[in-house]
Amino acid sequence: MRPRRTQNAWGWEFVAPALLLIALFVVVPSIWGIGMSFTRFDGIAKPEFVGLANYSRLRDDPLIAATLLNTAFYVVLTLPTGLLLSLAIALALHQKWFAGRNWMRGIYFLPNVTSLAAVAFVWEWLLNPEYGLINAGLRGVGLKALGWLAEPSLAMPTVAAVSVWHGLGFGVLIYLAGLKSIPEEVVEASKIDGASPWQTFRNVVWPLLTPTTLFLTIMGVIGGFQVFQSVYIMTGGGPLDKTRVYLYYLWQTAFQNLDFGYASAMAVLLFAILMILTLIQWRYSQRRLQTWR
Amino acid sequence: MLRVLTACALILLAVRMAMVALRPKAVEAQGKQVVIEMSVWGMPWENDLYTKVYIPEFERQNPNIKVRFHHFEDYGNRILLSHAGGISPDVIREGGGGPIWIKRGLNLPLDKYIDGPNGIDRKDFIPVTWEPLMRNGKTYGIPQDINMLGLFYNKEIFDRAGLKYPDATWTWKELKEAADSLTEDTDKDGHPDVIGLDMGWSAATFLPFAFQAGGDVWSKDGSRAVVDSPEFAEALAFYRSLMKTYSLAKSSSQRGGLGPDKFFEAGKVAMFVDGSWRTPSLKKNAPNLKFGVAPMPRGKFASSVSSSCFWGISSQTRHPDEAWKLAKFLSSTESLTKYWQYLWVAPPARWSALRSAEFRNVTGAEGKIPGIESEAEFNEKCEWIVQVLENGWTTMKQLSPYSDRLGMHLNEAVDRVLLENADPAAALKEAAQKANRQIEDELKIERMAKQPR
Repeated sequence: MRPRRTQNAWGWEFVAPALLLIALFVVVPSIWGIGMSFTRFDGIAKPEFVGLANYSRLRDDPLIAATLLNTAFYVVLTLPTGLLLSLAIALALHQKWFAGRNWMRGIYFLPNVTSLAAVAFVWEWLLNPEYGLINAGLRGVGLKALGWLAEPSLAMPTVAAVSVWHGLGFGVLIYLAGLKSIPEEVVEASKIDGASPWQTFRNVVWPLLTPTTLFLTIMGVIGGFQVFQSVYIMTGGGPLDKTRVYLYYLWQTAFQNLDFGYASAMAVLLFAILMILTLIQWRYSQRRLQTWR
Repeated sequence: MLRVLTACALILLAVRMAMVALRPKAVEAQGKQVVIEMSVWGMPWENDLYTKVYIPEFERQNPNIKVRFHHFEDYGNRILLSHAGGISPDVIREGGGGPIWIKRGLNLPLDKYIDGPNGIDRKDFIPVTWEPLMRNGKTYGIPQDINMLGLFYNKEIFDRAGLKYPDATWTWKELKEAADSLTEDTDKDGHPDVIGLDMGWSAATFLPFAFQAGGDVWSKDGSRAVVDSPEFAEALAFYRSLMKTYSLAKSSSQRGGLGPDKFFEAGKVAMFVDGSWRTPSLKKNAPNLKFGVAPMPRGKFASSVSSSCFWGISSQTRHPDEAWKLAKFLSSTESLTKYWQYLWVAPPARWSALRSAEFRNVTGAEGKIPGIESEAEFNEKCEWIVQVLENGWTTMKQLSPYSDRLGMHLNEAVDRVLLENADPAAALKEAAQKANRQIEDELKIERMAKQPR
């Protein structure tokens, strides 16, 4: 038998390439980014140290709060809707009597593996106020056509709806895995005890899905705060700044205004916000999980 | 075995990365021959002009210089990244974002070359094309072309209505009246079948009206936005009166990727405002569409808005003399004439090319871009360009190192006035305040960075 140390060394060798890539392309740039946030750097001249000046700008910049609020609104729109729809679809696809459920699983997952850029372009055409299929349908049944991406009050919900549609497959897949991990005996036992389907779901299935829901919530919050592509393609932050989300503003600051130092400070702030939110969720999840153990 | 393979893979990876990191400057001397790198963006068929016409001819004339050609997608970021990595191309095609790069030191000052013994005649270039590439009295490029916004019109719709085609005498009044009478809603469903006037809502299409009203964008020293003027407010009120009534949708970015050009091509728009670059693609996409182009209607003043492409030389170049030779060649009268004849997206920046007989002989690129078939067609589609440039009816005053900062807030002001019926003066005041605040922040940081420690 090989000594344990050699076995450990084998493990390290297996993960070494991945670790090297992560270190080079994630860890080093992240640390570099934190360093850059203390400089004035325009991507052309050499970075110059300016202390905490970029962080003072964060405090005084009204667009920081505005874009963070827009982002939070996006998360509020996408997260519960996404969770609810994913769960409902996963529950339906989990039923043994559901004919063709393997096909349906594939279909639901299809948008998720399609590039978001392509999805956003297709939806832009569907939502076109004049020639889009959706407004044509509305006019066809005698309803008023809507400026989906043009009306300030509709733009963010529309972007959120497209994102929910795009991400649905992932949630369904995770919920299906969660449902599969629930022992059948537990569900059977509740039925034998006379529980109705709703009672079984409410008191047995839903509590046992808690880790899945919490995982999806954490991923949803992190992903939601990083929304960029769909906004970049579909609205460009408009109308009236209603869809200017934090990451879009960060991108504008870095790549349009060439203000990489300030953009890095913005990235550090986003990192801090996400870290705090994740820690809160983590602590909450630990408590919830302990209750159900 | 696996261990050996892993070690080999890691060593190879490390060696490859070291080679990239320690690569000498992209321009290397191959014997006595110097290699110069140049970069462009644009439509793929534009490459032919460089790779099959310009570069072979330049290399024939300069046997000791070899040109390596790059067409970059995501151009701005590629240039920035290559500059940050120390492998910037020597000769860089630059556009509207040029002033930002110049301010930050990406470009080499070219005055000693331009005014030197092997220089060029500055007076042969349309004066406005020098503006965006000058900073603190130094010149950072050679102009290549100049584009401008104009008024495109559908001749058949005008004929049907019995109206005269737009021309250089048109004012805001004629524009508004024509837009009114050309809008057709045959079934009265509130959804016009023909739109009198169309253009996307944005700062870009609003600016010509602001200049026509006599407004200015930047303070004299260029460090403050002054769009909170009565002239700007007057122009924005007029712009609202046009856009609210006739525009198909709220703004160009929110039209599902379909710009006004698509509606114009489909014969659903009588007039629309777009750039000189649009003409060849309109002719290509809608060969049966009968259209012409006129200068923008005038307000107190006649004015369009322009931007220009120019050839800059990287401040990192190791071969400035050879790079200068290439940049000068690319902006020679012969090169610019060919550029116009082949692509006709933007007129040349040189008077000698603009006033030449060849300028009126637009050949296009076979199978890719249609040419112009007759003098009459040239007159209705391109003569306006000559009128605008000869009379100085265009400006590039909007271009500045802070254009993007102002553009963002100006777009917001336009949106607010058009969508929320906000007061133009108040919306513009807010836009100027927001932009100036950001500019001041940047200048403050700049001063801080320059302080000796």
